[in-house]
Amino acid sequence: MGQYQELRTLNPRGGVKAVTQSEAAAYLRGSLGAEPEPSRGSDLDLLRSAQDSSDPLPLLCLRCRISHALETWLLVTFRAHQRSTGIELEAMASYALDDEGLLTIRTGPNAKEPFTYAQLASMPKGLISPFSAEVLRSYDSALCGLPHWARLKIQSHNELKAYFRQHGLLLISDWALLRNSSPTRVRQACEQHLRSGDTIETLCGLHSRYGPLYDAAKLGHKQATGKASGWQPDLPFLRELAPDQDPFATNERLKAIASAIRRLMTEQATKSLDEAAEAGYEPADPASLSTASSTDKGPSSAELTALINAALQRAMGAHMPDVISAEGRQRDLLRCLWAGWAEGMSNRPLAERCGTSCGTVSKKLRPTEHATTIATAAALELKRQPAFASCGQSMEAAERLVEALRNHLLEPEREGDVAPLRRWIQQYLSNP
Amino acid sequence: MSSPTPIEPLEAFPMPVGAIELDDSAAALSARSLAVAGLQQALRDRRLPLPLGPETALGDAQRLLSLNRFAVQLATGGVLADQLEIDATPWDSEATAPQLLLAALVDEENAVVAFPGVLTGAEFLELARSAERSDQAVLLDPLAFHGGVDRLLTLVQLLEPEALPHLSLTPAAQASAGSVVAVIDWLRGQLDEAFSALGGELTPVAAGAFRSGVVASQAAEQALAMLVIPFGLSGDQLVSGDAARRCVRKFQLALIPTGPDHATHPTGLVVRLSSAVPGALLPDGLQLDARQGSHRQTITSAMSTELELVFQASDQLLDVSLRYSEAEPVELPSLQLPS
Repeated sequence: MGQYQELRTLNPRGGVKAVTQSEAAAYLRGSLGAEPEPSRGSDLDLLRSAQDSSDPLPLLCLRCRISHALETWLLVTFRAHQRSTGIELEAMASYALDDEGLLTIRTGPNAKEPFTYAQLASMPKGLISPFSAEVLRSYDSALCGLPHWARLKIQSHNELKAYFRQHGLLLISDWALLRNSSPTRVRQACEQHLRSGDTIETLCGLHSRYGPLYDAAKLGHKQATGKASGWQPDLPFLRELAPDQDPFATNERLKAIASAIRRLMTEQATKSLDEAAEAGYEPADPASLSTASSTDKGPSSAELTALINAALQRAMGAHMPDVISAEGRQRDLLRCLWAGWAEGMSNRPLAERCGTSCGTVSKKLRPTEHATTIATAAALELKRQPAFASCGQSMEAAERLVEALRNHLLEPEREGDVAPLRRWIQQYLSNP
Repeated sequence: MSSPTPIEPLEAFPMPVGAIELDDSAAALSARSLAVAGLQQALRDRRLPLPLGPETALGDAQRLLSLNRFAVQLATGGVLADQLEIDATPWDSEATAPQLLLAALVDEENAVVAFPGVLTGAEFLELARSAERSDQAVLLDPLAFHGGVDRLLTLVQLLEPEALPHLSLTPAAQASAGSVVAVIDWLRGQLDEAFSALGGELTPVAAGAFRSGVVASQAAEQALAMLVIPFGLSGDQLVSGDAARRCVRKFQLALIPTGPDHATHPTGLVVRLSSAVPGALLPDGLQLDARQGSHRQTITSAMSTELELVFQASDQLLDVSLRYSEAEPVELPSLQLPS
């Protein structure tokens, strides 16, 4: 079954299902004799048919085609991040594969119209449903192919981006990626990951002209729409970028460079993860605290320890209650998360226990950040003691003290002990 | 071109550790404004009511931030950027140089800000020496920054502002090297840029000539003008200008052209180093060195309230330098005293 008559759509029972669109199949048989091979030419033929008539069927064929491109994108992204972030394919598909193949489109709370190209063109600006309708309405065939356009549109889907952010992921558009890549990275990406008829110099030259034009166009987009996302290069932009080139070809080159950059960064990310796993994690030694501020004269080690512990207790008492006891909907979640963390649970079981995602656990807890804030507050108090006065004048002394205090808060001094911050939270949460 | 490696490219990227998500109202802000909003959010999250300014120009990318009395330069780039452009303009002189450089990686499309870290002036200068340049920018890898926003907040809370000097990318010694200043200009109220960059000011003779107390009477009577440059010690580093005024150990170098009453040409020059506090001792080990042709004079402080050298007008240029410990000496522009 081909891409023009099979619709990939969200399955309410889970996952994505294929639904054959018999009307689309009949249309293809009647107008073309058989379903064509997926190609830009076939896409354009169907698009012209949709534009020239009030028949919703050629558009339905293109909606099927779009659903395949979107599904591929979703699966690649899902597989890459499912384990690390807990994203769900069904949730992702609910934003992109919400087309049920109906031949009418909703135009108001109780109003429907035939799902035709003319109807799409007449609808007011703003995201329309299903998502394939938004892809088709905004598509300009002079800029790029339809599957690529579908991918660009899903990259800038605000609600899907928000879903990803909740899970600790950022959807970065090709255009932002190109802007934020140095000439060195672009050259390396093209050399290693791009097979093209163009020379590296041609591609790097195109990229070097891209940045200033992008900045100006993006500024105009923000002023016009009040939004930072959703910008796509239009024909004037592409013509200005490469005046002597076909804008479609220029867009294809940009797309190829962006894809090469993604491949380079994927490779680098994989390498750095492997290296990190190989290197292992070695926490700083909390024992350094006892020697961090020792002086020849002044308080004994026991006195210093007492001063430090008292300062840390006060700093934890001042900072943590607000962190743990936020009001509102988050209250129960926060208490659940901090209680689990104080027991020593890691993110995944903690997410399961509290009924949330790993990304949310990471974002809500941030124990190292809080430990640093507490350590700095305690250091500010300790600085008033002569033994720690050097922290006001010496950057090294200040950073050493804060690091030692932070490690002391997070790491138990002896095996089997409970780290001070965990212990403080356990005691705080055990009080009614 | 080599064959491409079959890698399935990432469409989404993990949010950087500690990234700050801003609300939708920030959607249309500039990268700079988003970064400032991220910093404000970080302060709120940590319940730190530190003063952040300039209040009316926080979004102005040309301005330094002032955070708890520290001058902070904010450098922004995209969240996946592999290179940050640091505007080098403020680093041209110690008078305008920041004390800290904060990197902010901004994803405008998602309104997310991540702070990879901060560099002190000294750390930035060390990196900048070998860094790639582009016009008025120094190009640095965001990985060169470390400690996240917490390092910034730790430093500005724990350190006294004078503990982090304002350092120039173009050291005073280098900035003034090779230039020649006609001392006679001072009598006309004109001060060379190289001396201005050091924080030097022409002071009315009558008011301030020999404030340090012990008056070399002949010189005092014959003073035609006086240029005063504030210096200080930040650690072992000699600093001048505003940075010097914030130092605990501070002193001043006075250059005093002398001559008969109402002379239009100076016939001599007194070079005097004294404490900023009249009568107080100078730090030991300060070395004042001057060379006029083959004639060289050097004097070092040791329980001294002032150091003084006297020169006569000559065809030879006069080169004066100030040195402390192993640090780079400050060399003044060559002085021309008309013979």
